[in-house]
Amino acid sequence: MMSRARADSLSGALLVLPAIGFLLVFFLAPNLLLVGYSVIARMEAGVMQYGLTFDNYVRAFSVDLYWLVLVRTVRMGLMAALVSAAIAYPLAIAIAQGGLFGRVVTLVVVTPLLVNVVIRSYAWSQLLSRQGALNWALTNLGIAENPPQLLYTEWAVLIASVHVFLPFIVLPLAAAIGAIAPEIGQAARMAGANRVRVFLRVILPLSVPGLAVGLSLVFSLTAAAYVTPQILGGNFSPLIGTLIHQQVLALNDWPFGAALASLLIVLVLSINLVFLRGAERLTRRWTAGAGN
Amino acid sequence: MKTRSAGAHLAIEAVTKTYGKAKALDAVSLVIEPGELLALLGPSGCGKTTLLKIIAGLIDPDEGEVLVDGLGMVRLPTHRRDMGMLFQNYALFPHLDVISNVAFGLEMRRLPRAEIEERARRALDRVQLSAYSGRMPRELSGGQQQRVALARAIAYEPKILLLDEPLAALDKNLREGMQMELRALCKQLELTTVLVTHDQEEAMTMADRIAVMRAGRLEQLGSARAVYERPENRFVAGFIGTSNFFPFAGERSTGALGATIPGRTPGGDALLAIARDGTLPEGGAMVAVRPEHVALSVSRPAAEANAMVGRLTQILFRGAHMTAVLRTDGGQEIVASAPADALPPGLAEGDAAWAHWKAEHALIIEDK
Ligand SMILES: Nc1ncnc2c1ncn2[C@@H]1O[C@H](COP(=O)(O)OP(=O)(O)OP(=O)(O)O)[C@@H](O)[C@H]1O
Ligand SMILES: [Mg+2]
Repeated sequence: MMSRARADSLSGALLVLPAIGFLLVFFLAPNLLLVGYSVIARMEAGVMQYGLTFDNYVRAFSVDLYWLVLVRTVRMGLMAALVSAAIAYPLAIAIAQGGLFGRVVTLVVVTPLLVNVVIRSYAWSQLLSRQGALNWALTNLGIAENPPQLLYTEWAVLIASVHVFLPFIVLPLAAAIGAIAPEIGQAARMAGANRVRVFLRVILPLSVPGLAVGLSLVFSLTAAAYVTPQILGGNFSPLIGTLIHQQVLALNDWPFGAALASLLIVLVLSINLVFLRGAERLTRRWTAGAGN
Repeated sequence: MKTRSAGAHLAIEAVTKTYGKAKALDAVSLVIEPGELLALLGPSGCGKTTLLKIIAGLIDPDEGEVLVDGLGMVRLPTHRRDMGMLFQNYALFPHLDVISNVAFGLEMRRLPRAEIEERARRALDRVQLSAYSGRMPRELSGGQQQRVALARAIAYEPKILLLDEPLAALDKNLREGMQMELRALCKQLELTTVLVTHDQEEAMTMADRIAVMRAGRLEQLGSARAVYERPENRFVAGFIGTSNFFPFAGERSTGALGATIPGRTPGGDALLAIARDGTLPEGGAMVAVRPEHVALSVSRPAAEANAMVGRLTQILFRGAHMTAVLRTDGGQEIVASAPADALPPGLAEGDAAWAHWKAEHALIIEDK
């Protein structure tokens, strides 16, 4: 028994070795390089000064603009995550129920992934621009005389981010909801719960693990996005991705760009940790290693 | 809980349900009296669960009506039908502890907090699990989980209890204990109960009446005893207990109830059998004889109308009784079962012997 178990864990370790190697080379190493870049030099009056320094971080924390952009980025990520979650639930429930309708919904949710993000973002910019389809409809239907500017606002970025990243929350949610035995919902209905209460008391709590994964994915992808905020947000209210891009490519200030990128990674990681730990806390009592 | 009124009167009228081309239920009608425990018994796929879920409102019938105390249910959503249900996989809410599971139906009824607690605790008492109220479902054994599910279903005092193979996942000893416990509780609470099972012993142990189903149709409805002693066709006689079957060509129908009718098997053996309504069934007749009514002897019994000679091919010791299989020259196998000491001494496998039975134990039934 003992040696069998040890052999199993040994072969298990061997099996994950390639994955660990891959992560070391393609994930950990670049991130270490990134953090390294942020502390080995600073730009002073257009000239790069080399030597160990924390000036880039001091600059990021002391200039209001950078803070503002970081906060705006986190806020955008959280809003996109929450709005997507609200839209994702009905879709995920339909997918989990299966049947022809469920398959059609899956297709509708997944196929946009086949279209490049750049193209989808430009499509949104056409829809949302001053002379775009949305404003045309609003004016001609007499809903708004002088429709508001949507393009190059945070709203445009939010709308497009939700659209682009929606599949990343629908799919884990559908998996979590699909894993709930149908009899559990039926038992709730037999006990007197209508649709709303079945959702609130049974489906919602039991889907928390999938919800946490989905929220975390949409939040991370939105906060780290560059294309969508660039095309739809313009330069008036940039997110951190745009700012990093400017520092690195326009101003050639790699160390400061690296510092901003490192801050973004730390922020996104810690917020993800909060999501996932929170979900684990909520569900520990009923999911932890069954049968003891 | 004793002050509650008796369970409801439940009527199922011509309920039909089709999946694609297959008829899962074909115009099924039956009436269940208040406080009665009825078992739906039949082989896998015969439509038992479908019928139960139609009663519950979890499936809509294509045609037909379900009446509770005379009120049509079909357009009423499940959550307003006020029924309780037990599932084979227990279906407890995994994220709620035992007492919250039991309280769920009471909370849905928006009762005052104190009453919810009081009634949930009482329901948990009834299934002897008061000591487990703070546990999570995954910390309970299968039997305990089903008890919690039972407490959850009776806590809000439904008028009808629906059981879909509730004990099928339990091991045999526990299952037998819980069959009696479940029946006692249903009777005590005077619940109108529909039990779905494919286990004939369970149906006989628990039910007041048994509805035998086959391929979406009701084959026979009656007490366990009536269905066992007077099966109406070959399917029922074979599904409930076991029977020896003999193809039967009767000489005449007398029309008198319970008349004895002489006839022959295709092999030429003479048979004397009784017909319940005095007539031979139109779709072809069969004679069914229960193994416990077949006696064995070494020589031809003098006074017995029904006797066939053959060789013993098997003698099996089954504990409470022995089972012997006799094969006639015509190739007919006859199974006899009797207490071990009722078997003629000295009979062994390979010996020639006579199997015989009384005319009153040879039932003429429909061959379908
Ligand atoms: N959702 C469905 N879609 C298509 N066919 C179905 C569906 N549900 C049930 N059926 C079919 O209807 C028939 C009756 O099914 P049902 O579940 O009522 O059988 P059952 O008597 O409960 O069987 P078991 O003892 O195996 O549970 C079966 O032939 C089954 O294949
Ligand atoms: Mg079934």
